[in-house]
Amino acid sequence: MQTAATRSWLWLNFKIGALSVGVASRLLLFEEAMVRQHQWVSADEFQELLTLAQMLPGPNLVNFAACAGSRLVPRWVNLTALLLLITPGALMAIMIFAWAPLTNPHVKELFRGFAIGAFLLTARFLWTLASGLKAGSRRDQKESYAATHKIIGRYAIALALVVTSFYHLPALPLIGSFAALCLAWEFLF
Amino acid sequence: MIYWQLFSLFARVSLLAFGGALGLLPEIQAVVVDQYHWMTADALVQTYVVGQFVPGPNMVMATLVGYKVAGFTGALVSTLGMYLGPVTIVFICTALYYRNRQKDYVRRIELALRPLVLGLILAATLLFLTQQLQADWPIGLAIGLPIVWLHWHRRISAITGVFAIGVIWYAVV
Repeated sequence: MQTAATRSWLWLNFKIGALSVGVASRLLLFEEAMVRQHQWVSADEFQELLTLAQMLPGPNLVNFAACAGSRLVPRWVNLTALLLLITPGALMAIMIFAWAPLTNPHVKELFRGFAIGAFLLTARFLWTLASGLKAGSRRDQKESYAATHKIIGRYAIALALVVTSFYHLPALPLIGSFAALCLAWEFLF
Repeated sequence: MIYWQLFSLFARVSLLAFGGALGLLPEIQAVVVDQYHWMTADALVQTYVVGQFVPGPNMVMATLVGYKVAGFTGALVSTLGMYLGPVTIVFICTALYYRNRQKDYVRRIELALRPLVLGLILAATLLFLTQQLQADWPIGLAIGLPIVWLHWHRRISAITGVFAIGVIWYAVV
């Protein structure tokens, strides 16, 4: 794993903090920069960081940035980057909230368009995540694939979680029970 | 006193935040609206909506509630409360994880949990798209799919794609 240049990491966090909408699309921008553009981490390592960040409590995006930053840059750079990630959106939100232009239908429709675009563009990112379910447990083997039944089971669990999410069940028990199911599938079958 | 109340509220809810901000609304509403009467339920929902549309982390509603209740200092204190605990936990857990990363069972646990991560992100994406598109989904797809195709084949960056879809959507709808 490479280390990231301080300036590049700070700029990336600021760019995402100032220009991106929609959690999944923000993660997509991290993936685009970390894996494709700068090759700081491999696609597999990116997914590893994402899994770690998602399993911990707190805002997903900040968790991920803190997690990835811990691996790529010194602590003070990581903290500065988190400030750059959080501050622009917070200031913009205060301005919007104070002046309430979201009640203006034109502004509302424009923001709606950005949000739809952000979520549609996560398609490729989701495809990358889905491909990661095929990985086998040998980290040192580059093309290591798990057994077919294990892979099918992983896809089935992800799909079941998507379907269940549409019933608006409480998040914590839902995530807890699916985490238990995932672990049971991996270790017991 | 009010600063401490804001800080402790968001420090508490941030540690319950698994799977997105929406799940935290009932807990925040119980304190902000029902217990302290700092704001109305409608205004609270508005902070959530604004949080979905501005750039950066979507937990910006913490900042907005703090701002509404106690001005800029309130916003600062609430933001600190929302992020301090999770970031500390992430730093500790990442260090522990990478210390044990080469062990086989750690790799298997990480692999085992990947379907959960995919499921959560896919579910959030689909839920949000169905909410936003509603009856306009044919227009949304007609505008979005060509740009998604261009992005998929690396002709345009994600940010360019988002802005292109946003502007075309605004012009068409």
